[in-house]
Amino acid sequence: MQEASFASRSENRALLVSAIHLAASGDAAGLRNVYDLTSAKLFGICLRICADREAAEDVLQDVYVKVWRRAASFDASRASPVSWLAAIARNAAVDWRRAEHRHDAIPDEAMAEIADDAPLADTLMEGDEERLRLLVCLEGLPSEQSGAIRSAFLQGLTYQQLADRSDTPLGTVKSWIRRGMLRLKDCLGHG
Amino acid sequence: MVDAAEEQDRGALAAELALGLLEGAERAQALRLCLSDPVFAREVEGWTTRLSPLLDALPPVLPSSRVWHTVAARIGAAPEAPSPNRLHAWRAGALMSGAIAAALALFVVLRPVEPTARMPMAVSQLKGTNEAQVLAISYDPHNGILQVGSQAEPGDGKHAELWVIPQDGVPRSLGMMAHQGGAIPVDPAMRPLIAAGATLAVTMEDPATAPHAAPSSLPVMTGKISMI
Repeated sequence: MQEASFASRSENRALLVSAIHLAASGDAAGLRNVYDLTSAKLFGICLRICADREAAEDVLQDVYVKVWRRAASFDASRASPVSWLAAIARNAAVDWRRAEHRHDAIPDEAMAEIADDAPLADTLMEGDEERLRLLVCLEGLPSEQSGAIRSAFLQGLTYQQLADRSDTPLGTVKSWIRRGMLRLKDCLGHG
Repeated sequence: MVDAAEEQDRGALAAELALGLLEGAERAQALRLCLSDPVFAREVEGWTTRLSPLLDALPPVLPSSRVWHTVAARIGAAPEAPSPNRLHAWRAGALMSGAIAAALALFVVLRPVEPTARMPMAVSQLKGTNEAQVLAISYDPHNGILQVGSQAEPGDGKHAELWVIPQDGVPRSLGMMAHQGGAIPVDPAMRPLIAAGATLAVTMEDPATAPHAAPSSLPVMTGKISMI
């Protein structure tokens, strides 16, 4: 069954890549396929970062219009299609938060939840190698480094906001992130 | 020539821009560098995709159908017939047919995002016109496996096929159900569809040609997935 599920995962990826290529050629049906395959996942990302359903739907619209415009620049040899799409959604949602100046509206509980979002490596779905490697590498970092990286990435907080949140000097937060990212890159590079 | 310290600084800058940590002049400078230096731009993109698996931890949620309609309008795609009507017609027909009316109770256990917090769970029940036959279905999103309870064995050579109907109203086959019940692995592409608000339905179909692209008959049971 693991083999079957692996086959269908790569099949799914191929399906998504061909849908993106179709969209790149200007075929709206291609974008519709991309939408059907990914909208729930991308909406989950937008919803979590925007914390507002209506705003998240507006952001999601922009995401698919961006995908439509950028489809030709997608390079399947450099990124998985899902990672590429997720990155566009995440960046659009974070930009929306920036524009709205809504960082302070995030309740503290949400921060705590975000920090716990990544499950332990051993609870991952089988075969999800990219994610497994990232989580193993993140777990290898001191918790303040991995926590700061997760909060920054999943919420788009600035250095100053991270410092305020954790009641830590700005310079310390900067060095957590910088050291953490260096070690992370090293770990992923050798994984 | 770029020395090691400078290279390290640029690496840090790329990571900081990808994480969205920079503000004001620093951010403007990094964005300019992105435009003028393809190597730097690729480094930023590399960080974004490297970190994006973190986003997999966020649970999928179906957006409302207005999102696609607006996207289609904005890219100039031909408007589609509003699809939810398909579901409404299908479901209304099912409720009126009363053929093998039954009740379907769905217990959907969603994987807890925060291991220590409450475990989200879904339950729903839809009554038919006859004496209720209750079918329990649980779902483990972690492994993508539906566990289906046993049902009465059909006498006409047809078997029960399970469908999920997301908000677009189009039924997608999840596969045939054995009458003694058991596990149904869900194709990864279908997993995001098994979410709160979607409908599960059962129709009687010919097992020889399964799985089907569309149901050939009205559903004998339907139930909505909702979280508790």
